[in-house]
Amino acid sequence: MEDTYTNTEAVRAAMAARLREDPPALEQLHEWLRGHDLPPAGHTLEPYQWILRGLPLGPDRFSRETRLAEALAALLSASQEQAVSEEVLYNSLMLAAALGPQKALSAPLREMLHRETLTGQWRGVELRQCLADALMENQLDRSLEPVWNAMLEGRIPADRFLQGTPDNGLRGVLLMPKSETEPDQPALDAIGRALKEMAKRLSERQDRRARFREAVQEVKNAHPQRVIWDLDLILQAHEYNWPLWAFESLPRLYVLLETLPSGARRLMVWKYILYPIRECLDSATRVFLGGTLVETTVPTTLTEFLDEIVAVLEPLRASHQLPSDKSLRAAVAHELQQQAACNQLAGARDLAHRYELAIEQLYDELSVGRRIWIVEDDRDQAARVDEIVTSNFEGVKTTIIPSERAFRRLVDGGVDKPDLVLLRISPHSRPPNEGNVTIRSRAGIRYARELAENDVTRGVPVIPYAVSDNQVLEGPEIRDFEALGMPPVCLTPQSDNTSLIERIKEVTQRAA
Amino acid sequence: MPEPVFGRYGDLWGDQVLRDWQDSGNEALRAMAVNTRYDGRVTPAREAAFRAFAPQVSDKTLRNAFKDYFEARVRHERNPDFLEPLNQENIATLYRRPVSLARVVILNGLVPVYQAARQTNEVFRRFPTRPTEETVGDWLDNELRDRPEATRRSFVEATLQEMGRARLRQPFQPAWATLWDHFLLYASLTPEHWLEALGITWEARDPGNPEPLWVVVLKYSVGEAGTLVRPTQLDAGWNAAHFPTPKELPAKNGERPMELPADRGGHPVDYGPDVPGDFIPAEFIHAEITHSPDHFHRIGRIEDAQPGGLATRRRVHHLRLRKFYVKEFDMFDWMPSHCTE
Repeated sequence: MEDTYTNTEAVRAAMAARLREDPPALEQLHEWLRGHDLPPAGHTLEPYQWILRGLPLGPDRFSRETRLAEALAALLSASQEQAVSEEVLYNSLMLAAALGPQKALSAPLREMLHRETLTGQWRGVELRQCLADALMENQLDRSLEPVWNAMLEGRIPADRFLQGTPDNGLRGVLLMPKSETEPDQPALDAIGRALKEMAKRLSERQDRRARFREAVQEVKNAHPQRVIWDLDLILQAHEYNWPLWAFESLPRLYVLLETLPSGARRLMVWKYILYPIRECLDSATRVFLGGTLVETTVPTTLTEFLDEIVAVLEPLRASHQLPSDKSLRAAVAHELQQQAACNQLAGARDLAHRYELAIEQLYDELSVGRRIWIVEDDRDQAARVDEIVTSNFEGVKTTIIPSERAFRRLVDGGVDKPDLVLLRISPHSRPPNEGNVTIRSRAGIRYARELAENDVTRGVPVIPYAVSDNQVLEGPEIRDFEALGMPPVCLTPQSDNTSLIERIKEVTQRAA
Repeated sequence: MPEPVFGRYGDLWGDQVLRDWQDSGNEALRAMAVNTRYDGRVTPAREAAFRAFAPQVSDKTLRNAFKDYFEARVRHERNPDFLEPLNQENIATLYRRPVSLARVVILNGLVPVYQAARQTNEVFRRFPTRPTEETVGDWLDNELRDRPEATRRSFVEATLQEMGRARLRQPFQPAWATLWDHFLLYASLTPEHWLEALGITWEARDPGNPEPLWVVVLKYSVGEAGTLVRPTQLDAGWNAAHFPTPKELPAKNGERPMELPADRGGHPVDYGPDVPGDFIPAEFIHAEITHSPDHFHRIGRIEDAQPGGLATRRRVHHLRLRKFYVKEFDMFDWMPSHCTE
């Protein structure tokens, strides 16, 4: 006997015959969904999986799927949940999910949602969860957006009919069409918001970059036909102001917008890619996320070098695992150093020099950090130090602390950790009078100790400084700081501030 | 010439339907008919329980009775029929000493387990919302392929934990196992052969482009498994991949027929290469248990699990059984050769 029998072919033949019938054989579909009339192939695959096997693989598949969806919709509309077994409901809903998106299925699934009578489970799976899956896969408009958003934000009351995790919410959003009239387009704005929400939920996790990349990949996988995801995601990140770490975890931060007739390239690019060639570029046309990504034009003479930098930095960024922003910049600096050394060895001194300039620039940024406290009770001096810091270091946010009360409020208030503290001290201070404590009354050393002992500020570098006419600092507080290995910087009224700038660089580079 | 039903020549319940299946030209139906006729390990009491699912015998009711009986009295029962007194004759008693078992789990077949776990277990959070065979295969590849051994291990451990939880929500009987020493004859071979050792077949959806299968080998003791039982067709349900074994050796020279002890187990339909000495592994079932992480032995990926045609597999298995039992009796006396030719 010729041994060519397969169970799949048997199901396919049976289904082809029954789906040709008009109206569709609902009774037969019901039988299949409860596992009857299927080939003797065991019980590992669920009936809905056998029904899917029954769909042909060739050109008839689409029409057969539609026909099956119509039959399933008729079955769902004709039966009340209470009158149908859990097995049939489970298999109906999973079949609906697998066939989606189907126009015919959307309405009966919505009706089931609105009836709110579905209960029970099959093989340990809650049938409501199956309904949520079927709804996700059969969306024709954005009417379920509030449901997915509530799941994303984790704010679904326990008694709500449809439950779901943030991952379910994301899935619901990314399968949602842009509108009823554009069913083949993703709802980009909703996806942008959803990814921001995911970033928020992941922000405290060590593996946040990897997890966020998974979510982004899921978005891309849901609409594989779309070819401008890189641009879409950048624009959504900008629009919804994603956190920096999430933005820098995107798969590509280098998007070619246009090649001009001259060969120059107009592009959107991560700013660090441009550091080695920055001085040769015109200022950016547009900036995104506070300048982390810029739109600019790169002249033909630099495109080859640009490609080289992109080939090095983009994979590094896109695979970076450590959670902090600083760690990514440190990794970039390290890579730039490698490139400088390689070019030096190869005799390409000009390129090596460009990399070295980029490293210097990056180190300035890396070492300064982003938040600096200036503990200073003299308004004029506070303005002066603030000016020194902000005009010499990019992207720094300063906080001036003018009094002990303000200092206490910040330290005890659980605020964000600063990256550096500039602490005004008095070169000739005396022990404080009880009940009359001011910053000048030798409070500097006390503050430094408090900062070192506080859970939030422990380890934050502190630079003590004094304002004095005399270049040589003296006094008990000066000696205390020197004993701690923190010799204070002296700012004279005439000084050019170089000593403070250099100290900031030195201290924070060491900390980084 | 009359043929038995469940090994007995009584009222021949369902005889005409079985005859029709044998003559249908449909290899799977023919296999089910032959198994039903010759599986004398289905006790009269179990047969009666089974018959209740098809009070009026017809092609349709008999087909569905296998499925319905299996779901109602085996699959979801905390006390499945195979562990009840009505199946007493098939309960193995030999293995009181420490003996290890081997079980092979196909991860692709655990869809409901992963679906339920998706909501509560981070490891499975990306399980697809439309779990077709294709998307499940892709998901497993994504989670396991080219991943370090430690990642795979923790995935399997999480799977075992979730299988245990699922079992508490709704039993999922039975578990099929072989003796570890028997499995060792296959263990050094590729993962395809692990399935062969347990007689597990997986027909590809699209033979030209089969989905990958991820299979896990578990090793555990008889003590952990509890009672071992020699399986019957009713424990396999509506499944033509099963092949029964005789209950007793036919009578010779006027002697009484000699019963084959249940301790020997059934025999999985081994569709792989011959193992040394024409050996055929034993096959048992037991109640589903919660596997501990220690039970995990190996994991493997199968590119193409095409087991070959059903008729060929059955014919070869029948001949192997005959060779295996040649010193004791002629297998064809129990099930004539035409049943698999």
